[in-house]
Amino acid sequence: MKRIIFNACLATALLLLLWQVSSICLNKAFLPSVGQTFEVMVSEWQKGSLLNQTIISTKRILSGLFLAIVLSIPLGLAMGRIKILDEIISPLIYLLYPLPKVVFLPIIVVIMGLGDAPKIFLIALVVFFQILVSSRDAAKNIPGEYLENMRSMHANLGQRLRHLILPYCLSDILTALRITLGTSIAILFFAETFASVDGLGYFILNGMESRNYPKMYAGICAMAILGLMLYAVIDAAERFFCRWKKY
Amino acid sequence: MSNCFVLEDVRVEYELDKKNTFAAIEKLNLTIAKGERVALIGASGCGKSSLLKILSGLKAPQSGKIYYNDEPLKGVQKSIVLMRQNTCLLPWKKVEKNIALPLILQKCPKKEALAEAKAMMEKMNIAKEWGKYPLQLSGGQQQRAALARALLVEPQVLLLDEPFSALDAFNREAMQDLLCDVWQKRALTYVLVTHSIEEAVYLGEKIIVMTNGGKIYQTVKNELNFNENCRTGDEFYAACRRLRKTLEEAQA
Repeated sequence: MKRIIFNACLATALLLLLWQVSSICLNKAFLPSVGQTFEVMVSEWQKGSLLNQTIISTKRILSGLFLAIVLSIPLGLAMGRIKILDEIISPLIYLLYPLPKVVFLPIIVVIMGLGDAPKIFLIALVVFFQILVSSRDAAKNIPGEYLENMRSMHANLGQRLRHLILPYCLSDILTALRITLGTSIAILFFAETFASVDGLGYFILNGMESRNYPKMYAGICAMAILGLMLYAVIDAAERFFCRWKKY
Repeated sequence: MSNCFVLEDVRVEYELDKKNTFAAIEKLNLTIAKGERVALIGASGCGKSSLLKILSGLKAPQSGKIYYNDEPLKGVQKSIVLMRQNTCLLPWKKVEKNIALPLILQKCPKKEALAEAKAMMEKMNIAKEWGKYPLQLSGGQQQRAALARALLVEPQVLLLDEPFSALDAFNREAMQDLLCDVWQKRALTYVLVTHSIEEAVYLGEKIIVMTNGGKIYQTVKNELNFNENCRTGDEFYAACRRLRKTLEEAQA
């Protein structure tokens, strides 16, 4: 654990050093120094503006992820284990999966309005497919011997799901979640810059449009920290639920 | 001695593709008595594992009849346990929870099931492995854990599909002795699939030599009684030589 924290600190220090050197070399307004940015970050935090926008964005991304997880995991596992369900739904998935879902944002906004709903829905829509496909594939790959063994122990469907299917697929699901997290943050940013009046995306766009670049970078840093924390949560979940994997 | 299994004209097929099937067992007739120690031996693909699958109730035959305790066998039975070379221990569950799993699935209180698992681990000489994950155990310890899980539900029939083939010689012998010990104490019926002539002679009182298509080439009655010194005795080696000859004839 100590080593992980040390490595994370080292990587952050290197990034900040690179940023500072680039800022000095370029000497342009669009790349302020680390110090300037953190000054604005602290003042915006103290005013409550940055904190509020971070809370709003966090709520949206967590809601989107929650919605996607709740819908995609049961469906994915069912598709992985029930052949007929997979045969019916998979063509639909393959048709919709490659589509860039952000193109539907204007339509979603028209249907759902300007509040949190369209942003949450768009994040959920993007994450849904990724986790659905991963959980379906993981469930399909469960060795037959394990399934037969559960059958011979007279496990019912709920018990099979709890003791075998879900634990077997969990690692793949968490990996998919980790991969899709970067995309979901990008979607969050995009959704919050479109017909929106709050959130970190709006905060960043506002800073850019008013040429307040330190404010813009303060928003970017806040978004990066939000992403980092979510990654840390997923890593912690994997370390806890898949601790057997280290052997 | 009453019958444990009776098989009449059993045929087992596997689907190769939509049009073609492969018959792993054709017209098999077999009787296994209660408390009998049966060893199945034969070349790979001759239908030994398929036979265990139908005896376990995991697969239904395409035709023919199977009777278990004089009644038609319908699906998996609580009193029949199948143990394979792959122990099927769930790697995310600690050893004791793996062993207790059959009881937990039968809605036995967790505390009680774990207490039973602990007692069984002591009997199997793996009590020190409490709290470890299966991947932290050696192959022999994993097999002991799998046997402990199989025995926890007190089965009447133990079906063993090459359970000890991945173990080193000494661990294999220790597991064979453990199985003998269990059989003597519990008087259960076991059917063992093996590729080892020595193992078949040591563990089987009835040795069934199978050939392709699940046909029985010969049933050898083994008079040898296992004991600690049996493996090094002249009688044992003579029985092994006779079985080897029968196997060679069967495969010729």
